[in-house]
Amino acid sequence: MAMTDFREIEAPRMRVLTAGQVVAVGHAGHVHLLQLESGNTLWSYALSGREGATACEGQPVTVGIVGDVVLAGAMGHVFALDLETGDLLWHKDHRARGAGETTFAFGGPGSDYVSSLAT
Amino acid sequence: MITRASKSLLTLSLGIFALLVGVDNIFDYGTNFAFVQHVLSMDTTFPGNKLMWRAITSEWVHHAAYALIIASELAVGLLCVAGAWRMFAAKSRPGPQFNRAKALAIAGLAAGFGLYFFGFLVIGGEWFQMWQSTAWNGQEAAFRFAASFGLVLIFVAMEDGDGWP
Repeated sequence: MAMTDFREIEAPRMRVLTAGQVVAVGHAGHVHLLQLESGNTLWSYALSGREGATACEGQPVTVGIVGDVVLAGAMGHVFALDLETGDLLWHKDHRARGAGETTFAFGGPGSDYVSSLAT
Repeated sequence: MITRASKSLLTLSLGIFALLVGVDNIFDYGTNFAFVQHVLSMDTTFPGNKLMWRAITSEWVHHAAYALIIASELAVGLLCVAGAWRMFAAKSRPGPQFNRAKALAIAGLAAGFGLYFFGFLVIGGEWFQMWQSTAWNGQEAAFRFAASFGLVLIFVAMEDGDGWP
């Protein structure tokens, strides 16, 4: 019978933060996550630091929180950031000709509401 | 006399302006360096445009271009200030002598017009397609500066006689 090495067992990670406890701020190519109660900054992320996204530097940023993910959009680039850590989950480039706004819509069939944001 | 003094003072004001711009760009290097980077990189022009081969992403070229711009601004400023002083010193001289004293001022004003028209509108605006960018577009400011230098240049270059106010 094999012995269990308890050090190899990963305990389920507890989410400390929830969307209701924080506020995401998008400004000048950056996303900041603040504590709702204190206003303290939990983390900041510079969108233009991502390779291929230099166009986002200094630009208006649309932000939204969906579950454990902070979504940010600027200059047609869309970023998904981990709510807890601010780590980049994914980044997609949807830039097109012109100066179109970057907008989001959350929700869909079955959800209570749909909201949209724009920069 | 008023006309000659006005030519001198207007040239001086543009000289101080150019010197301030150059000095500000040295002490606050990063603000306008970002502008140079984005314009030369063409990273906010329309995606897929057929002129992207003109883009320069090398950082040392960005620094070199910015240094050239700052040096040009300082040179324009010095020429205009020196030219204004020469005109002011010669304001009571006979017309032909005063007209000859305009040389530095005309050189400075023409260089200022060239800097903002050729450097920012021709090279930045058209070669690097700055007009396509809403984010990093300095065309309006460049036109204001070029127009100011151009108008004062025309005024200063007008021949002065001895019977003028």
